[in-house]
Amino acid sequence: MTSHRFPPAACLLLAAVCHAEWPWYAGDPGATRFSPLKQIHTANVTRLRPSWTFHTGDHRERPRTTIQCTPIVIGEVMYLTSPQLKVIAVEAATGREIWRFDPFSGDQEDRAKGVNRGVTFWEQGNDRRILFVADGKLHALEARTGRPIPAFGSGGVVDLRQDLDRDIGRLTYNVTTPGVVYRDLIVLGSTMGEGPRPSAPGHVRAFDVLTGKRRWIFHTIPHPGEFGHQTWEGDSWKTAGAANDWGGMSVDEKRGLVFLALGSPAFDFHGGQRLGDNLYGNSVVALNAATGERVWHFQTVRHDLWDYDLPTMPVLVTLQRGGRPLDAVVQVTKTGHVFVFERETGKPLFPIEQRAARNSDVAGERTAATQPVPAQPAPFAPQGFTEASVTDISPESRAHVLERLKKLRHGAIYEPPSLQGTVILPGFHGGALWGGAAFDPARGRLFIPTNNVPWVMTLVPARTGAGFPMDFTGYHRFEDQFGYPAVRPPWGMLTAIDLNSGERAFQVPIGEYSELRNRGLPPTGTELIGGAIATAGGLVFLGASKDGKFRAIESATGRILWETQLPAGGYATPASYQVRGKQYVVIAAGGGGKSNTPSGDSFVAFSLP
Amino acid sequence: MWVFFSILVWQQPLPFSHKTHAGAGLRCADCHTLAAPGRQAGLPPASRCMACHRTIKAESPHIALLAGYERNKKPVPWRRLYRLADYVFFSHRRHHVGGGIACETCHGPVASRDVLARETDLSMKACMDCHDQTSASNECHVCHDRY
Repeated sequence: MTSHRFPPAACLLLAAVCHAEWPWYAGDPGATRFSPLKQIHTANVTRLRPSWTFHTGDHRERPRTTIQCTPIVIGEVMYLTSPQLKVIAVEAATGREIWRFDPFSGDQEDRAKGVNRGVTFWEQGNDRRILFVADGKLHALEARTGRPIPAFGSGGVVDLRQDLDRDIGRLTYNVTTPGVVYRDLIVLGSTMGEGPRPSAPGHVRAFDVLTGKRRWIFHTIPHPGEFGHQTWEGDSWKTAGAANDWGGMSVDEKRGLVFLALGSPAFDFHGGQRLGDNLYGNSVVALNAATGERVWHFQTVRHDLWDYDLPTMPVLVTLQRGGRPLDAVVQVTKTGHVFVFERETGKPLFPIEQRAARNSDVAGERTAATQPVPAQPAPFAPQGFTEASVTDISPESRAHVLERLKKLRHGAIYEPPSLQGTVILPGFHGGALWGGAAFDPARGRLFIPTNNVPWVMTLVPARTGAGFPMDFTGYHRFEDQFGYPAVRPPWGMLTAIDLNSGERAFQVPIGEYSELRNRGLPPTGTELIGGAIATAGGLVFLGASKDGKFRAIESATGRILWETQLPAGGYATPASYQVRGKQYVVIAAGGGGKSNTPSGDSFVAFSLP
Repeated sequence: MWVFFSILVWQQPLPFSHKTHAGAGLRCADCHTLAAPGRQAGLPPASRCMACHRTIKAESPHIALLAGYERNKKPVPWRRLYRLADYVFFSHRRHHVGGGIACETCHGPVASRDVLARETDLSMKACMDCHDQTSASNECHVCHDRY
């Protein structure tokens, strides 16, 4: 019984046969986003062309929908989620629809449905299930037919708002990244409000895949008597929200460990009502997958005030240390850091320094005195915003930004939010975002879609009687008068890091604005919303850029070897699989989303002629 | 003042008076229907107007213009006064039909105006203030897809 269809060791030996599937959201239990397929390689990738395009038929332009889904492929069937969160099974070789399931019954066209990054597969004998979450409900479907499984929960559904060890009433609660399976459990994170108003806690839970019953819960905001409880002053643990895993998890099946990447506690930008370090906010946590008990943890940001969530699951890798293999856990962050830990103990494999951080002058706030920073690898995103950071794409843009900067606080990373307005860089989209990182085991190389876009965060006193002391003016990108980021480009990049040495291999811009290119500017890159995958063919595949292109990049050099225009922005992470002897690379082209380009409803699969 | 309002009148393709029509007994929903899914309160097609104006003031040059839109099956190119950002979910059905919120709350005293102007604040802050006052949720997900 396993949803991982072949043991990892066998995969390495039988690369041509196994991993023809893409059975997990991030490729495999270790979330490496790596495919051992190599039919498509550096010498023939220029011949890649669309093999089929599947239209889900449910995108919408106002408000714009998006697709963040990475489809999974089991056998010859692909399972995907659509812009309005329908689950659809299609033939992986042709894109022909087999079945679809709509989790929203009745007329619900006039409401926000959120986003979804895909589904989870589980099997035991002939019992094969698709598990996914929409609207805060965990659904179990028959993989063959798409029909709900009546014996699971209540008629195939578990209401995730229940059984959370806190009554969350009507507070928003959902799951956007697919859960992970370990034996007969599905482990789920969550997403919720992160504003100044009440929000649900981000406790992580495991449910029985057969019955839907809760099997364990890990309090990410610890209860009395639990480790870390003392990091929440007073009774703040009772009301504080979030500290949630919204970017996914990874699983070490052999060791029976599940690895969490937790987000910031709420309210994101003022911690006066949650004084203390706020464990397990912003922490990598290793849990016993069978029981939910903590094995080790590391907090990457203490008492977060910048929305520096860990936005993506830890990646499980094997490194070479002193000529010997060493199993490790790698966490990329919005702050532009790469933390590397020994897998069983959590011991850092590169030194981590505690650097002094500035205190806040906002009433009621008390920042952490220090923040952890890895000495190696070097940060892959700029560490703060100064006058030297200001855009240079034109004298007009530079002058405009410099004038605005006079009124804003700025400086090194971890400059606290203020009533004056503070420039936040790395920004709310990283550094790294939910696209995370891909790892090529043969090259020991980590590939990270990287953003370099500053934001401005301004706090304001809350209105009288609000029930909380501080509010904020919203999420505002720091831009020039033409809408380009206020920082010197490149604004979106692919970073490659050799994890054995800790050295950066390359960093290349990804994406472009045609009007800036026509002005003779070097490639600026664009903000990247989506992830990369690596393949044994020596390639990294990446969409994510605002120009709507899908690219193949040489793993060894960072050279773009092939690119094509998608029908809409590819704001998702691709997948690669093989069916009937042919390798495919598929990506969703859903547009919309944070890049706010025209929406689409396509999944496009590419192959060689 | 006359010049000011005249400019506004001629910014619209026809000098339509909400005051006159409300005074004649028409209600908002008689013209601005909530077609499924009910996110938007629609603008009436010219045929809807002509159902009455085939006989009422049929000699007016403006009604002749209106009849032309109907004949050519073209929508009247009204200039929108209120338009929310395209990343906002707002449902007229949920607020008006479900929540019982009067049209005037968001659109001002339309029934007493010959010429419409944007009279109310439909900023995010105004929406959130109203949600606070009515104990409606102010979580991001309520109005925005969380990406």
